[in-house]
Amino acid sequence: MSGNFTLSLRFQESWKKSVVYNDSNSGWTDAGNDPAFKGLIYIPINLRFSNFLASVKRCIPTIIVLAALSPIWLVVSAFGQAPSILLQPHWQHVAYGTDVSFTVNAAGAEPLSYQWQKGGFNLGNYNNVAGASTPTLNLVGVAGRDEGVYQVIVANSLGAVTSSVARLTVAPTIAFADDFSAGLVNWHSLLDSTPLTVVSSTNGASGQPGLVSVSNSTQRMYHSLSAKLQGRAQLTFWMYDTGESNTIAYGELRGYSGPMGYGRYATPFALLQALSIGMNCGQTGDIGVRTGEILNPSYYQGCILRGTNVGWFNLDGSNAPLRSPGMHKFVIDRQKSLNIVDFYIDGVLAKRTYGAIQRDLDTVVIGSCGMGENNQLPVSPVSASFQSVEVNAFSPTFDYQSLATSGVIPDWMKLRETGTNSQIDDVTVIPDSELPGSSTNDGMGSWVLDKSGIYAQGPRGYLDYLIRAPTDDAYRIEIEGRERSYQVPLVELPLVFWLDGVYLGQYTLPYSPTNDGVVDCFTPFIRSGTHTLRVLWDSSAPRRSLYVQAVRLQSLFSTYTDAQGMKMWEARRMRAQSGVEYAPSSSLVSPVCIEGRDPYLAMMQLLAGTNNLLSSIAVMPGAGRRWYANVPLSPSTATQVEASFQNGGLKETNLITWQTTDLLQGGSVTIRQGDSLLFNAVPEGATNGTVDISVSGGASFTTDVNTPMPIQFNQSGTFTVTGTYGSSAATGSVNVTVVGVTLPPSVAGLGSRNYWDCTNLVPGVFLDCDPRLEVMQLSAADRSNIDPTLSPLPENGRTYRMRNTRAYESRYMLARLWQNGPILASTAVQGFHWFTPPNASFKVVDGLADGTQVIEGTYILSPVLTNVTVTFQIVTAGVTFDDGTISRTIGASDFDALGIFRARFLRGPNVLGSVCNVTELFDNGIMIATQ
Amino acid sequence: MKNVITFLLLGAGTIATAQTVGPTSSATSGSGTRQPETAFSSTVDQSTAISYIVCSKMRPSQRIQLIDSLGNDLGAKDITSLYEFLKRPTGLQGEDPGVLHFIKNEVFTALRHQSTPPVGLTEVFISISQDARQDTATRDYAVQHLVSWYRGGLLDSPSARVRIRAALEKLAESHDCVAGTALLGLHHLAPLEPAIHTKDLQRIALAMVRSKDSNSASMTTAIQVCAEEHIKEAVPAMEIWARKQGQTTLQRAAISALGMLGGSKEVALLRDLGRSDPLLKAVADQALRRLEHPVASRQSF
Repeated sequence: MSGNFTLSLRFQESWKKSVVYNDSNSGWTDAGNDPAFKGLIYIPINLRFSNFLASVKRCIPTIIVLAALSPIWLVVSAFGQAPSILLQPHWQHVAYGTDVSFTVNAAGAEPLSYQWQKGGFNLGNYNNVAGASTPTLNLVGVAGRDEGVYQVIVANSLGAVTSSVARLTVAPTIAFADDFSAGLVNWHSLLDSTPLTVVSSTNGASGQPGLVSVSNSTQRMYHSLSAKLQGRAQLTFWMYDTGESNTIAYGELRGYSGPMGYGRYATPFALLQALSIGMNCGQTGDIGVRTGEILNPSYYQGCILRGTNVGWFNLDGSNAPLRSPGMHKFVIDRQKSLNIVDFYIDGVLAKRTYGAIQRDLDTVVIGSCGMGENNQLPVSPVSASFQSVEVNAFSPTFDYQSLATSGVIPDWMKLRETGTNSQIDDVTVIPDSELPGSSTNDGMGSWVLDKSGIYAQGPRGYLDYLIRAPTDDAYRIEIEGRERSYQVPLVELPLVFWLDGVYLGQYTLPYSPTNDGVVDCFTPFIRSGTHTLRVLWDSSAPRRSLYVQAVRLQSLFSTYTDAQGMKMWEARRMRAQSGVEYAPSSSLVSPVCIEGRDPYLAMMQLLAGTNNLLSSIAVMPGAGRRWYANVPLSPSTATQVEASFQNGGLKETNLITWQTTDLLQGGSVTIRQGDSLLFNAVPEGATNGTVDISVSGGASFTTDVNTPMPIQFNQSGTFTVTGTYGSSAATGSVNVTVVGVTLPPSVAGLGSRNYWDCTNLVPGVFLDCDPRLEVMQLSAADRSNIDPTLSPLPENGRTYRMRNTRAYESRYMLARLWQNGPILASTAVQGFHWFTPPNASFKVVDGLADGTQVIEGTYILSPVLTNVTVTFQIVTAGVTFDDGTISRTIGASDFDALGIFRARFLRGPNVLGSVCNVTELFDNGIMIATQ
Repeated sequence: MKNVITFLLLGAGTIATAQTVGPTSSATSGSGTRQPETAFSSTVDQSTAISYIVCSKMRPSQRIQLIDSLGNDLGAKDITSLYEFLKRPTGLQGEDPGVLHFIKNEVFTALRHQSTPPVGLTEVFISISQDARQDTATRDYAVQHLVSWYRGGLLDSPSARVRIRAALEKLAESHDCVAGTALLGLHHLAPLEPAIHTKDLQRIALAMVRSKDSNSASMTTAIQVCAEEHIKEAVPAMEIWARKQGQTTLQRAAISALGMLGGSKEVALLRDLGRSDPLLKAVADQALRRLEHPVASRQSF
């Protein structure tokens, strides 16, 4: 086919001057001011159809769209131009959990590349990000951490252009709101457990907000939020200011260690944080006034309870409103970076303050503070009136686990938990190896092979799989399976993973009514070779069992690597999980206590020494996936410290010098029992000569100015070390306070009637606890209530209570010389799980001729702790154990290797109740749990 | 043919066909083991949830799920609604008694676990435990919860402990159908509560053992309480019940008690029992071992 055609070429205007078309039979027609064709030019061309493509190629490199119209139109994108942006991404304010897209429309010579950025950092198709290198950026399930400014760089071989920034903000969710239109509902007196009876309130008429007046005798009241607010959180309320200078009335956001919010005295849990705003010029109780602050009754006040900058302070920022009579709006805004708190009065930022320690917030408190409270205020409080309390929450991450639809927790969620910044990675999951579920290497419990899979019988069991890692790397482990029967409703399938004996975590295997699901977790960096994966399963519902279809080890591919060639995501994750955090370049004390983070201590190694002669140093668990070690220092040369994490995947080296204590400078120092100091007494300019050093108590030494003398202090107490240079008058002394502390063995995870006595925590010693332990100090009265027969503690005794149930790992408490100081001692709190499995909790196993039923109860202690005993007490008349008794105590040897104990009960024929019993767990005689 | 792997200890098929005993929940259990069947509870507010919980027309599983979702911060109005439900006599509620027992037991637990002790809960427990219009199982649960409430520490009024002790003693001395459970409660509380006098407890237990009006359930329990409280005066009654056939639980309780309290005189009896009845041999042998190697009153095995 051949013939003549008239073609019109439609170009985007910006390219028109660069398009070269030499067909002499054609001419340019600029759309010019024709509004219908603005930005277009027409190029009518005549060419033989057979030469059509060749002709077009001659004039333009690429045809994007070909549209034949009448006359024929070629729609082309002109090249040879740097990119430009036609449509900018735009600002968005969306609800939590929304899927968000940013789009850019750009033109320029192809190929165009796109790189989206957040806050100036490149994004990758990772975490909840998709399309990071396309015109449209997708963010799945946005939450607080996704807030920020986004922009895209569009580039081609001729240049690049950056879009304008588009801000993403995520709207808060209302965690709590009460306008008191129904009076006081679910508000409780803060001071004790009695009902809130003396608060007067005015209900709102016709749906109008109510006004709650809190009398001075009532003091404060609290409302428990239904959730722990982890991220940014705001408290807003209206409060009436009478204008009286001695008013003490305010509102608070509080966080307690317990599972829910509580009032101050109605709780067995500790108050971990309180952020306050209002009027307070008289408080001198628990917190007091911030150091250096003088409270001014002309201003409103704020307070932070826990942190580095605590106490009450004036809200006296540059635009802060002064106090005035009337109703005012108060806002506490705990920022996303959680140590920042903003205080607003009537919409004006009255002060921003720093140093608030990060705690989940779970309680709202409002009211006036009275004389009756143990603060014993020096002024008389007055009544306070409140309106419209509201708490807004900004969840830091989107909770994918709440998504019942997919049920799958994506990779980004898990990696984000480790603090990974994975914003420049491009990660693709590729299958590496796969084992059928039936190919278990070992295990325990009763399992049935079924086709290529395996399913469980009984209440629990575990399977071991040998998995082969092809290279040194971090991997993803994926388990595919389901509940065997596919019965509705779906049930939880809780799994616990260990790799080579290292605890990886607890996970839930999702599945649908018709299909398998997968659950995965990430390994630490492991060496190539064979590794043992252990998967523990506990039943969560009667007559349901786990079916394992397959186990897979997967490599995570990444095109991005760091300078050492390690995958970027992996390097970042490892650094987020592991590392040295405190290793000073010099230390007065040897051994120096260094610290860091690492969740896999069994895979960590620490070496120290000099001149490359390094020896192994014991690494001890710290408080919360951390570690510490005491590194002895060389008095003569810097000590080299090499820390290796995750089987050598990450290494850090430090040099630490033992710093000499110059006795001529005087002063004092506090050290741990067993620590050594390096002494000398050298006047300025002295280069030789002898130094005499004596320690109160008798010991004395002679050295020279070039050889500092190490002295170890093995006894607690206060010592004076005196140094004299030669026979001159140059002499000086340093007071050395030596503190010795031992922590007694802790008890395993605790319940409500248990306690842990420390007998020698001298003043100043700081107890640093794994935050997951929920530790609180008990008063002498609390202790006496637990057991009135206990002897009083000695002077330096303290009593604590911890909670560590349902944990499969030990958690630690440390005694520090002072807050953040060197570690004196540590003790482990054993985690355990005590429960009756729903799959086999109680069942009739026999019926006797007289109508008596033999009932078997199944109990699980996981792991079986050798020092724990369990006492059973039957609480129903007519029920006994099968031997006729009503009480029984069992120990570790009574449990099988899976931690299962089975008790048999007799229930008489006329007993209508169940075989109820109380179980109490004791750790070395101290009750740690009751059920 | 399926291939059964039993790695260790656990026999295959240990759970598949077993019958679940109902009601199996304990008055002292927490709420940690049940799994919700649907997302039902998330769609209603607290007051609506309570109206469903007390409604016999709702499915039991949904009612249980809603009880689980109540939380520990119930308002006074909601608590009052639950009190009314609990106090309503079983026969007037027109539903399966087994289901009702289960529901009420769970509501008892939910109320006990409130962060602020509900005002009046002590009286609710006491009144139900003494209310003859309630069936035995509900009353028995109320007694059990009364004891657990006492053990838990925080109560609803300063006088609650005194009232609970008085109520338990009154019930235990009453020859009532829940007397044995009340006695057990006192027995378990006594080590924790100095106000429960050992002599009073022993007097009540011995009276129950000696009374012809005690039902077999109470007698079973009283015999064991006497054994653990070292009440030697109960031995003659124990011997009688140890010989008596036809009430397995009571007989085994008596045999076991003789092993804890008896002397050389009871050795021959225990040997005879072991020889005469193969079903009793294990219990009798264990009692004999205890006689030969006495241990503390709270037995360890």
